Amino acid sequence: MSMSNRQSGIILFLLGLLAILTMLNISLGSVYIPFQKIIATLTGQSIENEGWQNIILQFRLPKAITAILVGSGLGISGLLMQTLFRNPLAGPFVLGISSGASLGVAIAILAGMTFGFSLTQMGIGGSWILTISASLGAIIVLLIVILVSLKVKDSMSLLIIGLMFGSATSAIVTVLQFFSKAESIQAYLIWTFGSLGGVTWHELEVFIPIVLLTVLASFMLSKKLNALLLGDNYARSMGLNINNARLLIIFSTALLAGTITAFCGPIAFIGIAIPHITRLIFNTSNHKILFPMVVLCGAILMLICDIIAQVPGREYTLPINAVTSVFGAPLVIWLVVRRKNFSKTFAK
Amino acid sequence: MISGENHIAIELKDLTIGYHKGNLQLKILEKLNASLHKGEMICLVGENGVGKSTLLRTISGVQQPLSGNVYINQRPLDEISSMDLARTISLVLTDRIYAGNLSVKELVALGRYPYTNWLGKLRKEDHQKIDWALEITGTQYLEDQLISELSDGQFQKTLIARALAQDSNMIILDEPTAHLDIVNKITILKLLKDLASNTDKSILMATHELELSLQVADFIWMAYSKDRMVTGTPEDLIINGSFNRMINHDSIHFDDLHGRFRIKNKADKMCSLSGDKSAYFLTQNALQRKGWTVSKKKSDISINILKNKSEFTWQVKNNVTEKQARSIMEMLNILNNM
Repeated sequence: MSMSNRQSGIILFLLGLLAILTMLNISLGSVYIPFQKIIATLTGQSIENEGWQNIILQFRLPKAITAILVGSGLGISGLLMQTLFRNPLAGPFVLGISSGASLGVAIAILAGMTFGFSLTQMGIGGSWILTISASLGAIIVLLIVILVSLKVKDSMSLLIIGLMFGSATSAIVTVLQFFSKAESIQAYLIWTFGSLGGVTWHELEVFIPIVLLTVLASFMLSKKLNALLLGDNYARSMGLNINNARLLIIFSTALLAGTITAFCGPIAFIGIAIPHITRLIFNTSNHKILFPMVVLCGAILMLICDIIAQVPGREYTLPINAVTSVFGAPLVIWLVVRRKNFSKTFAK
Repeated sequence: MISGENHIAIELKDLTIGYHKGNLQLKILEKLNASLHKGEMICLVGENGVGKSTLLRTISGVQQPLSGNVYINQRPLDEISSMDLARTISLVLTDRIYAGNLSVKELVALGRYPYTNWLGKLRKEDHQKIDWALEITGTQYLEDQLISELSDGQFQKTLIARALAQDSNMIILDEPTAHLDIVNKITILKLLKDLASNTDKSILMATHELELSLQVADFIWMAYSKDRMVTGTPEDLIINGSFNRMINHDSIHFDDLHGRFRIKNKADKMCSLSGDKSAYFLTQNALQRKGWTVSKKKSDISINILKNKSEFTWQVKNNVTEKQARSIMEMLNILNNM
C-alpha cells in the first residue's frame, strides 16, 4: 500500500477535521456551555456547574462516540456489500437486515401494546427491549440470508433475494401498523427516525467493542476483497475460497449493520454514500487504503450530520435518519457531477 | 516442442463436458482426448456455442466434468487443492472488472495472491515478479495509470501481465484478442507465442482468429458441434479438410492454397488471365469477387497484364474488340460493358 503525497496530505487534513468536528459536536447543543468548561470537563477536572458536567459526560460525549461508530460502521458495511455484489447501489441494508430489525421493533411496540404493556412507560428498560428485539429481527433475517447464500451460487441472485426479504418484512410491518393504535404507530415512527442520543454508557460497553472488533476483523478481509474486485472467476483462479469469503463478508456486514440499527434505529444513506465519497476522494479501489479511509470519512460525515440535526441554538433535534439523506445526497451529487468519470471508478 | 510423458502439462482423458439440468446431463463435448505439452501454444477454435468456454472452465477447475478426467502435470484435477491449482494455472478471461479505480500495478500485483500472506503484503520476490510481468508485456510505462483509462489493447496486455505475475506453468486465455484492432491482435498473439517458446509456459487459448492462429499455434484443437474435437498441427488440419468441415457453410470456404477463408461467389462468367506475376493475384481476387471464374486456359474473354516500369496495363480482349485499362476499376468497367 503505497500512498502518494496527495493522499497523505488529505489524510492529515481529514484527521484534523475529525478532531475539530468532535469538539464542535460536543460544544454545540440546545444548552450553551462555555468552551473552557467543556475542555475542563473532558480533561477530568470538575466544574462548579454539575448540570453542565452531566450534559457533557452523560449525554454529549456518548453521542459523539456513537456518531463516530455509526458513521464508520455503516461505511464499512456498505463497502463490503458494494464489493461483494459489485453493485454501486448496494448498501448495508440490501440483505434486508434493517427491515428485519424494523420488524423486530414493530412487533415489540405494536404487538406489545395490543397485549397491554407499553414500552414508553417502561423507561430505560424499554430501550433495552427495543435494542434486543431489533437485534433478534436482524439476526433472524441474517440467518435466513446465510442459509440461502449456501444454496445460491452467484452473488447477483443473493442480492435479489435480499431485496425480496426487505420488501416482504416491510409489508409485514405495514400490516402490523394497519391493526395498531395511533399512539403505538407514533412510537414506532419515532424509532424509524433514528437517534444517536439514546445510547447510554452502559449500552456503549456493548456497542463499542462489537463495532471496533468487526471493523478490525473486516479489515483482515481486504486481500480477499481486492481479489473479488476481479470477479468470482478470477478470484477463484487465484485460490480464493469464494463461499468462505462470502460468508465472512455477510456475517461482518450483518453484525455491524444489525448492531447499529439495534442501538440507533435505521440510518439511511450513510452506508451507500461513504464508500463512494471515499473512492472519489482517494481515487482508488484498493481496500487496504479504502478501509481506514472509509472509517475516517464515515466518522466525519456522521458528526457533521449530527451537528446539523441538533440545529445549534434550538431546543429540538431533527430526525438523524432524514438529515443524513437531506444533507448527504447533494454532497454525493456534487462529487459525481464534478468527477465526470464517476461510472468508470466502479467498473472497467 | 518436446513430446514425452514428463512434458505433458495438461491431459484430457475421455473427458465429457457439459451441465447438469435436474437429473439430466446436457453433454456439450464428448469423449475428448488431447494433451498440451510444456512450452506449447495451442489455439482452441470452433464456432460460437460449441463449448470452447465450457472446456476452458472445466480444465481450469471452475466446472466439474460430466465424466472422464483432466490431468494437470499428471495429477487428476480434482485432487489438486485450490491454492496449488492457482500456482499452476492462471486465467485471462473476458469477465468485466468492477474496479476502474485500480491502477495497472495494483491489478498485476493481485496475481501474487497465492503467494502473499493474509494481508497481501508484497515481499521483494513478489515485486520482482510484478516488474518482470510488466516489462515482458510492455506495460511498465502504464503502471500508475488507472485501468479505466486504458485502451482495450493496453487492458488486455495488463490482464496477461497479471496472469504472468501469478507465476504459473500454464496460462489459459478466453478470446484475448476479441475487440482488438489487427495490430493489437498480432502484438498479443506474438507476445503469447514468445512466452511459450521462451519461458516454457504452456498456453491454451480459445480464439476466433483462425487465420492468425495458423501462424502462431503449435497445435490446434478444433471443436465440432456436439460430437468431437480434432487436434493436430494447423497444416495437417488444412490438408485433411477439417477447416472446411468446421465451417460447413454455403457461402464460405477455406482456401487451402492461401491458408485463408474466402467468400464463395456465384461464378457464372469465364475469362482467362495471363501476364505479369506481381499483379496477377490481386487481379484474380477482383475478378473472383465480381463473379468471374478465372483460368489460364483459352477463353472467349482474355485479360493480359502488362508491366512497364511501375505502371500496369490490363489488355481486355474478346472476339470483337480489344481495350486497355489503367486500373483494376477500369478493367472491371470494361468487362461489365462487354
